[in-house]
Amino acid sequence: MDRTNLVEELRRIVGPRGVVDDPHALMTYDADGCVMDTGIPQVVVLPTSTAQVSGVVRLAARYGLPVVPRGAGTGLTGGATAMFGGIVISTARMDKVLEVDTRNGRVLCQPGVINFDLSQQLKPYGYQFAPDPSSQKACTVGGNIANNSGGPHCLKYGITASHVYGVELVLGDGTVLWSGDGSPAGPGYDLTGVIVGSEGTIGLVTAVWLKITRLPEAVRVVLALFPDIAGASTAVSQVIASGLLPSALEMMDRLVIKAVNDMYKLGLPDSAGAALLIEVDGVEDGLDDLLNDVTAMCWRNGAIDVRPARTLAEQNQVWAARKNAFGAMGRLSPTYYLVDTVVPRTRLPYTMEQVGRISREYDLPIANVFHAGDGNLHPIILFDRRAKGQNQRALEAATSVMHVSIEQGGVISGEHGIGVEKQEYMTLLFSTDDLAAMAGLHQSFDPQDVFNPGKIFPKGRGCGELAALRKAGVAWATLK
Amino acid sequence: MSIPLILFHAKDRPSSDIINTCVHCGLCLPSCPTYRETGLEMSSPRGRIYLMKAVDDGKIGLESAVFQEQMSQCLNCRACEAVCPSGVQYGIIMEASRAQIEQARAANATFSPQPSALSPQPSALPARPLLQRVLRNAIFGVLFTDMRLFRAFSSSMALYQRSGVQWLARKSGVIKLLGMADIESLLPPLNGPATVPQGQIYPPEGDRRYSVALLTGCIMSTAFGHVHAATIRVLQKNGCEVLLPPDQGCCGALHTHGGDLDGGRELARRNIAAFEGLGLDAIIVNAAGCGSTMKEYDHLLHDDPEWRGRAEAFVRKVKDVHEFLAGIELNRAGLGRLDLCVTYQEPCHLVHAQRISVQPRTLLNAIPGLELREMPESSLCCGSAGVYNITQPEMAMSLAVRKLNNALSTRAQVIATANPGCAVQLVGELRRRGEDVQVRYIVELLDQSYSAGKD
Amino acid sequence: MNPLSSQIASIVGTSYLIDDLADYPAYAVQGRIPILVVAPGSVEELAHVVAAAHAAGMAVIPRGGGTMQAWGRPPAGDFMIVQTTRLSRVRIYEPDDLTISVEAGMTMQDLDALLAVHGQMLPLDVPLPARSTIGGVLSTAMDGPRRLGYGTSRDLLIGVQVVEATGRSSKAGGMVVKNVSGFDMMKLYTGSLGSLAIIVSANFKLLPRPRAAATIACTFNTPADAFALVAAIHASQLTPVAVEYLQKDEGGRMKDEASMSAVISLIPHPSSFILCVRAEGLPAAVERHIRDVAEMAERAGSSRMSVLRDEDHMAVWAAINDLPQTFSVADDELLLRLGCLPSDLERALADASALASRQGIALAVAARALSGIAYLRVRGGDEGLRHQFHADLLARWPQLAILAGPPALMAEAPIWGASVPNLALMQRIKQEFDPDNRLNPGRYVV
Repeated sequence: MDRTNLVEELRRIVGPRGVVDDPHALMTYDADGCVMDTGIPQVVVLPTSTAQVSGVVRLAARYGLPVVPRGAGTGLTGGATAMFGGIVISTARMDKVLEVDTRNGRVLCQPGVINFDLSQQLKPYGYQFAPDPSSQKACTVGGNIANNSGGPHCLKYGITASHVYGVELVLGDGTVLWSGDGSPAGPGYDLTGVIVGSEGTIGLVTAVWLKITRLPEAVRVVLALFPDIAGASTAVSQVIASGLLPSALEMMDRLVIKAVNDMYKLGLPDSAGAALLIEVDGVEDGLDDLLNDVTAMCWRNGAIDVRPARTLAEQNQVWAARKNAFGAMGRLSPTYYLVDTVVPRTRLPYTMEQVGRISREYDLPIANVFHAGDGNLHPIILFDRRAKGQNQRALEAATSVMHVSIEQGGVISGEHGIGVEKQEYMTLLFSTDDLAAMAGLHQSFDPQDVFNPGKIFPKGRGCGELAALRKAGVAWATLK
Repeated sequence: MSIPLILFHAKDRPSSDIINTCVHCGLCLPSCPTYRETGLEMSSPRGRIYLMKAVDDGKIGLESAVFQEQMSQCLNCRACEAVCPSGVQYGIIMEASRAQIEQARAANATFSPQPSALSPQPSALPARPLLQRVLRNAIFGVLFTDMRLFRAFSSSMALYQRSGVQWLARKSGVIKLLGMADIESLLPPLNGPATVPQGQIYPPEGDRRYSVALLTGCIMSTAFGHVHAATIRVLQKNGCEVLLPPDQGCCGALHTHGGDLDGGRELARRNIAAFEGLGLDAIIVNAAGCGSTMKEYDHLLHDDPEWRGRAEAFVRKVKDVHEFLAGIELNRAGLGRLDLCVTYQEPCHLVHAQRISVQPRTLLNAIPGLELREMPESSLCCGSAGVYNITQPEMAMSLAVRKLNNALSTRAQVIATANPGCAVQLVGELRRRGEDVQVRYIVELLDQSYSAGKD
Repeated sequence: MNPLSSQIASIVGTSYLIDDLADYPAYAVQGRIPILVVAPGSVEELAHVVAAAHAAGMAVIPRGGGTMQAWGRPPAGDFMIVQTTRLSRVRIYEPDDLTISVEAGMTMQDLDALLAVHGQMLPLDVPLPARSTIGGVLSTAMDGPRRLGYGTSRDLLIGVQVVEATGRSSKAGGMVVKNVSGFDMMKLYTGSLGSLAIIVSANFKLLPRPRAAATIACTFNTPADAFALVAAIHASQLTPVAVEYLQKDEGGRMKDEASMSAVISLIPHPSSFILCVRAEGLPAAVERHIRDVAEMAERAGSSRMSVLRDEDHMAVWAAINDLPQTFSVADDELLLRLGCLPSDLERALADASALASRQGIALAVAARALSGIAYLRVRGGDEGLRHQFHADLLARWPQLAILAGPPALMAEAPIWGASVPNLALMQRIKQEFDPDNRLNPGRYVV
């Protein structure tokens, strides 16, 4: 179809300033935080309202073009990349907080609101939005919903899915639905629950009622240093098993300590092979006892130093170091590949050993910073894209990490999603029947495969194929 | 046959190494004023670096309208640098990219616009329109390099303001036609004499603790002479002997930010020479934009063997006035009560380029009676950014509106700042709205407090 | 034996099949007798059974402990029951991982006993835990008072295996607490009332049992005073795990209602309006909650405040958890569930009380006061008055479900509320997962 007509029609819907069609400008939209997979959209639109989104989606359907939702483009698996071209709908201009309702512990906002900004806006009310992924200063709540984002504090407060009351969703035919508003026990299936984490493949979220969480009365942070990851991991297991539920348990290894030390002048000793950030929160009463117990457990497990962050400034500094650890890798290496797998918590020490082995085997340094309390690993494979063979080695090392994680009873993504980057690994985790069930769910929302095609499901096993398989499949065939 | 692209030249080439440090994580996006306003990826630091990379990789050329627009639209506020976890030196590659565009234009203005058969690679962009070129040359090439001319120009503008011609010109729209509307509305009311550095030495009050020199600069010395006077008095109160060395001039910020690196280098050499060999403890700057430029003279001259060492020695002495005062034992006893509610607008070149954020607040909080109320987005650019008002009037306007909305939400009586560009921008927007809120430099408030302390 | 029965007998063995239901009235679903009841001994057997039923065109009603079979519309047409209670094994339990994988037929009580040994818990409080199974709790998404502190099953379920309508088995999620590997099918099956697939095993994230716990029971002369305390708690930074509002029938007309009597008997000097606040965590934190809640209760006008600890604490909550049970419901009784925004709850309950007293019927309430959910037990009067009560309340509060009532009413009334939003999409989902409408046909919203 004629591209000029498409652009004209889009301009009529969102206004001339809301359409990007210059080829050089479109180039800047060819990737999200994952630059390994790229795809240039035919056009990018920046709507400001649900009605505009609906209009654009209707138009896309008429032109037979895919629609790719994009928030801040900080995702790490190519989830916002237009693999097959089409229309990228950016939510960057849908960034309004529409209503703060503390009586019902909820906030109504548009999907382009930045996670951190939301919590800042809630602060005067004494509330926060609990999910706090490391990219929270840039990532949008729409992206959080797409990827069911975690973050350090989900150890205590739960992942994004537990903080979404309902979403307004534009479907592939342009129709709009609301899945909930925070009043419990609505009849029927939990549409909100399945929309969260669907990586923008079944519809586009245009507004959302989020659950907000009262700020804790008191917070304590302690940074415990260990000679190695093994000691720190044992301390983590003991803390978890002892019936103390910290609000965060975050680990950094030697390489990461070095990088953040350079950046944040934390003055951590070189002898530290692992740093464990422990945060506890709640009412003031008993919190110091809790902190003392945790500290004692660290000492018992061979900590070389335990440093409480007493002032808010100290706490912020320690947290900044943790949250910016990924980016600080740019100081160690020109390129890195961030892996995101999860293993059962007791399998952490062994898995970390294996990550060390993989690093030696592929001759690439691997830094580790992870959500130890959740068993969510983030091995960061450091390499130089421009050096011959390193790209391939990095990819192979990442695959090995995924294999090890699955062997240990884990999964291939804790919070970054599958996107393009991990779609081929889905078969390591799921059978055709498992994938077919997911495809069935996808089909019921987006039968025309309008939204974000070519993601999550392995190539050659798109939703259509899987759903057809599912319909044709006879139970006995798989059973026998 | 495809038309060859105009690629980066060797001179002042944006470093591929710096460009490739960007890992495309996107954490810079919300810090960027133009991204916040537009939501466009190419208007973000990550997008602009991607465009530079595209030129660097030979995918697009300097003639790309998107490339040129984005290099121009950037405020070079460097908020992105402060949040970049990978430490990308964005300001450096942005200035170099602008220099590439200016070089390519200059090549076309002086040499043949047609690529010769011997050089199949065209090296030049079409020159800027004549009027624009003349104005640009008059401003960058003449006015800022000769302080006498600058002062003369400034006083003629003062006359213009007072004479009623201003009113007539505004009304008639002549100024707008000349493309000068924004320059005009930006002019601060000119009152009081200009500060002319002639080797004055102001003695300290009490024992001499430090010997410092003040950069008088261009706009600061004319429009903001009273701020210099306040700065000198505050330094004196803190045991400083204050020198105003002659021969110093404009810091060159507008040149380097605008891509005229050679012009900037010329001014840098002049200032280095002017402040050398005086036995100073510090070279004090009270304008954030000048301070950040002067702290980077070493980078600007790093390819110049004769000046590199001298630049490094110079840079070690440059101190922002707030940085200096917060770093010494402040004379708190002399501070008198100011019952004011103040909000603080952080100049980009203080908070981002120099990473000075705590010190201004420390000084404000030192003033008895003063209540500091934080505004939202205090470190988001106000849209002033040197000549940005002229090159990108729409964006500058919308950022000014956003800034004022944030500032006024605090209901403070005074907006404190530390940079002439910001001060002008804030005053302009306040005037447009008819708001009765003052814009003051932090040193002015300190000066007022010391003066209240005498009673 | 008919051919289907013989085929199924060959899968599970004759001892786990009942096809002479006359002697087993307990298996009737809202008065309708199943063709047969089968209790497979493994997931594989269950899958074979479902496949056989599918091939034979037989509808299937999944059943766990049978405590919540009152929910939903009466089955239409012939059906067989597939009972999961023999699927009661633990699949994976590594206590230090704080996760567990169990088969769907395990009872909540057995699970709790197992977890207690390791100082852990799955804080889903459901009625009749000795009979309620994991599968039933998940498919009804039944909540408990501690949803305030720990969330509901949707927040704690991390993996699932199901047998679909055709007998195909599929899984989703995993044994880890964070996971975005593929769609969150757990959310789809939770609360789907067995209409999409039969849950055969479930993985949960667990929590350490709290070091200390106590109940602050406050009695009030009016609901308004009780809700003043609710508002005060909400505004504070306290973190109680449950705030339950209880209202007994003022006329004392629900004498044979065992659970409410059990609650009342544990609370010193009870009144008609009671707020029970449950605090859990560090000993010092629990004491702080007691102090602060007591103070707030006094300000709110509480007539009496008592602190329950240890056995009394456990007993009072066991009784509260049972209040919304639908297992034994009298002929003249309705159990309703009202959902609304938490800020509307006080008004909704005032409407319910006013209607009940106008119509002269008895009303008892158990409400998760900070979550906007209330279970209303309505009794007495004549049938018409009870139905009128439901219709009138529904007109004001559209999210009103009938969880238990006489079959005739369950068949005809809008039992899932005034309307079902997004019904067309839900029908597409049902069509995709159970195109032949074999699983719990007609009983849920689609």
